[in-house]
Amino acid sequence: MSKRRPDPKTPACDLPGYEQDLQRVSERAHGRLMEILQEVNAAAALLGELLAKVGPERSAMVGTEPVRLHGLALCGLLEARSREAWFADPVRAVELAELAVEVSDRLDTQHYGTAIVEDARALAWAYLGNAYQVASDLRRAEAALSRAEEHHRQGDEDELTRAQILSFQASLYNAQGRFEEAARLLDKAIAVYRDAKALHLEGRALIKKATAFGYAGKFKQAERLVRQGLSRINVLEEPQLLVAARHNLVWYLTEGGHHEEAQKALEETRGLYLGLAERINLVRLRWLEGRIAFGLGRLDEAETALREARDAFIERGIGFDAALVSLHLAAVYAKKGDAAEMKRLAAEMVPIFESRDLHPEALAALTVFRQAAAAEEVTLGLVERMATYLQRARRNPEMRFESEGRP
Amino acid sequence: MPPSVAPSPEELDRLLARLRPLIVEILQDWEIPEGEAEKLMSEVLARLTYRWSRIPDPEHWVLMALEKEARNYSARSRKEPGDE
Repeated sequence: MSKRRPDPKTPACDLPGYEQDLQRVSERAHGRLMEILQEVNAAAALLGELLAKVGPERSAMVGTEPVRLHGLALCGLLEARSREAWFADPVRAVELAELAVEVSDRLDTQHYGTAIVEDARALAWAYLGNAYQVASDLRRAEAALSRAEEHHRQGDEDELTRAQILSFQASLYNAQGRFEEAARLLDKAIAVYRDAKALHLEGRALIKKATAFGYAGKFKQAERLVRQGLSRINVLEEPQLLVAARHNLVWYLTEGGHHEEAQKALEETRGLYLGLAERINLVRLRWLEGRIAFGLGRLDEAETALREARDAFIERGIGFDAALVSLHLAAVYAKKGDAAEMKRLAAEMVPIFESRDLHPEALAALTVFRQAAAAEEVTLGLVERMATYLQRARRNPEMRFESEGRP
Repeated sequence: MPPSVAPSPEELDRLLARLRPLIVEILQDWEIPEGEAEKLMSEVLARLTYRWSRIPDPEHWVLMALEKEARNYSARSRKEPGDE
């Protein structure tokens, strides 16, 4: 702890005793605890009621006394639901986070105290910012995260809330292609978590920092960071984070050219993919297998795996990943020198162009690929540059692919 | 396993009992008057209970939060016109 004594000359024996104060604090805390437990129970019921309503009816309910007096726990539940929907249903994630903001806006400061209410507002805005980011609305994400910062300053500036905001801002920077800035923000968040002895959160932030390095193509650093993160996370608390981090580790090893090590790490991870029993993870596993086989020169095996992964992404309407796998498949054909398959691949990309999650700049890049395939001008270099672009531009509709044919 | 939403009363009592000497030390160091100490600690404990599920190390958190409250109180009281 830092230096506390404002006047070192004050003799300790003259200092007051606090026994009565602490006794009263304890009694009062018990009372508050009971209120909170009641609030948590009430919040679960309120959540159901609130989500069952739509439009003006829902807004009207947000303004009622039960919500104003039990809304803090409700905000937490809405944020948790928004988090769960980030990747499966980004639109729903935004809707839930918007509701959390609306509820936090109505919280009774008399009942909770300004510090707690402002902190709740900061968190609600931060969650909304991240939901916008996941939904590729980066401008709104930036504005929402600024609001989160403002509310954080007006509250008690809780360090863990600050670290959460920093972490979401880093995700936004990653989406904007500002990888070094993202890493710097995450360093601050990591320091907060370390200081607060929040080992799991520190691990999660290290894994996110690894992602920034991975996007920047610094695979060695990414690998080191993700290993550090893995050593800190609590698997029971967030089993999916373990799978995602192990997946990323294999990815960094593959992209860094360590294919045999990647293969070994993948075998160690295979059981985790199967354990989670989520079909989409198995598709990603197949994609990794294809990339590793490509790196090891097993081109036929790579082609089979990548085709399967691509078809599965198309079937699910996940255009971005389908496009990325297609480019990895194109790399296989480029290496084989198979222009006929390359043309066929380009023709088969029509369903990808119809996916809703591809923004116009990404579509423009894929058009460049199709044209190059038609003219038999696709090189391994072009495919790799395009794949790197697509990975970085996933959530940034303004990022453009710079090709020789395009200013 | 996700952390519980709030501490049990017994949990809170045990935490306060364990921290009592350090809490008193902080209050003394910042010369917090009796009565004010109750306000500061109540504020810290209210925030602790509301944030319980996302605080990984509650003991550490209480001491850091109290230190901050006490520092702010000290700065505020020194700024009051009567003290200048």
